[in-house]
Amino acid sequence: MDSNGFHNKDEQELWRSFVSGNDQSLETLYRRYFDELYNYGNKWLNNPSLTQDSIQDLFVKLMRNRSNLTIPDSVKYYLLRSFRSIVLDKLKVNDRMKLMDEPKEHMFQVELCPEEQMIGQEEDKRLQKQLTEAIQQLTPRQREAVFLKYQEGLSYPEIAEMLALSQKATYKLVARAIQTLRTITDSATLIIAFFLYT
Amino acid sequence: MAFSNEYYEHLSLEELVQDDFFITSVKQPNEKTKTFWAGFVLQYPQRKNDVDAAMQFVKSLEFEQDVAEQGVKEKLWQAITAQAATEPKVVSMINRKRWMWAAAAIIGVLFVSAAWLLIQKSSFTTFTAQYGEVKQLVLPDQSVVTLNANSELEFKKQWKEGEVREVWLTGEAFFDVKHLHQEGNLVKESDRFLVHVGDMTVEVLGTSFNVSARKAETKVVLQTGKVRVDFKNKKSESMLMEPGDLVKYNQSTKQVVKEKTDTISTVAWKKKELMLNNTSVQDIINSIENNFGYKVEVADPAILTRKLAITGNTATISLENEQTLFEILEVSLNVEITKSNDTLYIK
Repeated sequence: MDSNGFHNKDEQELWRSFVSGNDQSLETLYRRYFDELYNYGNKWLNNPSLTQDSIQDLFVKLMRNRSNLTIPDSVKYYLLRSFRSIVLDKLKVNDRMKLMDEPKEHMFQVELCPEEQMIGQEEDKRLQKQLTEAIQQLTPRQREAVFLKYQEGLSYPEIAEMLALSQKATYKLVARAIQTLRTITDSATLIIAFFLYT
Repeated sequence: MAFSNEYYEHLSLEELVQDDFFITSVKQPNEKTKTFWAGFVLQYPQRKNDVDAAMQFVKSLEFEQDVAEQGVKEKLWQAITAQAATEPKVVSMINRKRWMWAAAAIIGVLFVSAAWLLIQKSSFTTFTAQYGEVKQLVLPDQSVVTLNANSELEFKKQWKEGEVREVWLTGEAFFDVKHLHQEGNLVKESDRFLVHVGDMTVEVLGTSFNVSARKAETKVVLQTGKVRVDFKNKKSESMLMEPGDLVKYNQSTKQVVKEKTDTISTVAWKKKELMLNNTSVQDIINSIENNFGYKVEVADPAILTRKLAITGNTATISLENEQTLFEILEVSLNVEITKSNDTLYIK
């Protein structure tokens, strides 16, 4: 969850070893983050082949520029951030080709998981359904902030830097998104979420 | 890490939902977070409703995963290393054809339904060694696995602290497992390391060992430390192994055999070598089939029982280059080896 979790030290070690010439360390990181990068990229691009191209570009770039790389505080954040700018470039090129025939709001599209293993299923399913609808009413920027916070577990400072916002504005952005979601889902009956204690 | 109970007493539901420690407590609960929140609601029972609601809310914010097609991860890495080795060049996007977008869109739709099914799988990492490859990987806990050719290892992407470590193997691998416990006593769940292979589970007690499941036989060879082997078939009793032990399980006859073996030649493949130590031609052929993916046909079955060794000593043949291997076999067995597609004929 927290991008500064227990992987961090080990990943900086891998990074250091990659920078000093060991490709296998980068491969380990690639394998660790492939699914996450793919998922994030495809949320923007909605195009498997472009998403794969973006991942390829990212890692080729890392390998070619390795001598200029420094050791990031969080490898995961560094990868996500570099990847995001590649993905957005791809998106621009792609949009030019498609003659902008798709509205911008469709960018960064997320869906919620069908929740199958919860207790008190009826209420939970209802909340899930309401949330899914509510999420579509967020702005793309809010959607991305919520995704980075709750899915990728980035910290507020990290999200702020990534979206080029102040930390305060980022916190507000997430807060407003949460408010919107809460208002829409307010009528959902609450159940005891026992898993936090047991 | 966590703030004090007093800090959380005054947070609104919305603030709670956005709090980093709270989010972690819901998405990755552990003993510490559970104890903290159980204590919190005991101290402030009036906040219990809000905590429950916030929890349910955060729990529901679970996004659907977009998952790449199978095999893409492997192929893409090969493409990356190949491209990085060449000079940079500019690729024009104009070359892409429009119909590709249509195809991509259809694939996209399929993904939405496939993603559902793959959610479970997406939290797993698969590591594959192709024919002719030997690969080494470091698991999230720093244990090192050497994966032999034509083998696959799967494990959960995220290894949470305090959880049993588990991997699933098809093919053959050598494990060098990192000790998490000090005195050889298992105290916590997280000290356990399980390898699921074929019809058995190897439980590691801090150790290095070789596991293979090829065709109908699953074999475990222990080099150092201690492991316990459990069988899915309840009739076979669990076995404790000592270094140098080989445990064989035949999946069709369900028979278990334990014997002493030479651990060095068992793991010679790690160095891409085949060790000849009075090795039967049948074993060499098995090794060729497993490592290079050929189907081998022998004109005269009598040669299968012949054994190869060089004047009492053990000899190693490199598996790096299949042509050299075949030439050595031709000379030493006085046969002719011909290749046709994926089949190797020995005459």
